[in-house]
Amino acid sequence: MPTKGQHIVTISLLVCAFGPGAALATAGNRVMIEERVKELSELNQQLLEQEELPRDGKLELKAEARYLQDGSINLQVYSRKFSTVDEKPITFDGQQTKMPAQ
Amino acid sequence: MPSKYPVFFLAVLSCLMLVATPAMAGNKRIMSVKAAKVMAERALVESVYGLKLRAEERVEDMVSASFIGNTESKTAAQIKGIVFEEVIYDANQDIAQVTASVKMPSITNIDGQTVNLGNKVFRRVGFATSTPKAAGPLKALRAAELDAYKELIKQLVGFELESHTTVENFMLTSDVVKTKVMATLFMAELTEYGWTPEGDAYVKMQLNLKEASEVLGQNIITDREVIDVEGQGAQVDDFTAANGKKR
Repeated sequence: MPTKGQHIVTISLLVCAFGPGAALATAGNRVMIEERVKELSELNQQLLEQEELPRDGKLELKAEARYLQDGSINLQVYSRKFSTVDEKPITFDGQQTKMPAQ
Repeated sequence: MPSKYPVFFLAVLSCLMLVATPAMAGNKRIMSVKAAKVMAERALVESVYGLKLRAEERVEDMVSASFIGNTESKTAAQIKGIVFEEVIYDANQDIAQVTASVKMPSITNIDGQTVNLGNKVFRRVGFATSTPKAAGPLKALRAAELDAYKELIKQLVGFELESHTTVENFMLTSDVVKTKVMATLFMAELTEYGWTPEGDAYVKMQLNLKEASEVLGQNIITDREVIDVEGQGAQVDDFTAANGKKR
């Protein structure tokens, strides 16, 4: 049977582990970064919703972001780079292509 | 019998002096207080003269493990008339806290504009320690300060958002989002600061646009009179620890 003294030591150790120790465990930059990533994700979503996504290809957008009075962000796209691959048959039989004049 | 008392008294006094002397001597206190004064001076320069700030954030595929964020600030100016209003030193933690203020009629700010400050009083607080182990909360506070400056700039002039999206067969295969901020800021005022029970720091800052417009003698085009922001800073890098990355 554990003595009264042993009980006190056990309880003290538990308090130390789940008391101030537990509070310290929740501190740090992880939550801050996760929140920022969520904000960036929403912002990117807002930007992509303004544009038409290609079926295949790359879309590079640059936008100027300004805060509005209601706290929302207005995105003004000033650069668009769009590279897509058109899918259509390429024929070789008798195919003669004249390049457009430079 | 009474002749023994002076001997006993001298012995006790000698023991007390032996114990007390090491506790009182040393340059830790002086160094920490001096450093805190420098920190307070820098904060005042950032508020009155201004600072240059550059910040970038980047995240790939919305995975927080890929997040990279960095903020840099720079300032240099000579300001006369700084008054150290309050100096506190915590000997147990070896942390000094200095409140400094300055009152100036005018200044040529970081953008080269000579502005009439009308003897407005700017007040900032600086903390410092000469014990590296005690620097955690102070570093977190500085990080929160820079975060607050960045937020003020973002709210005032906006920021650049860059998005690189690759789609294959209607499936998102790659997504990179970047934000960039680069601007100068002055007249930012500290309104509140502190630490959460977990040890993360926060700094609340304010930019009075109406006042800034008057000082600059030009209209700052915005629909708000005051911008209030809150910056955050951590003293524990549990993000890197959780992602097993080395920076």
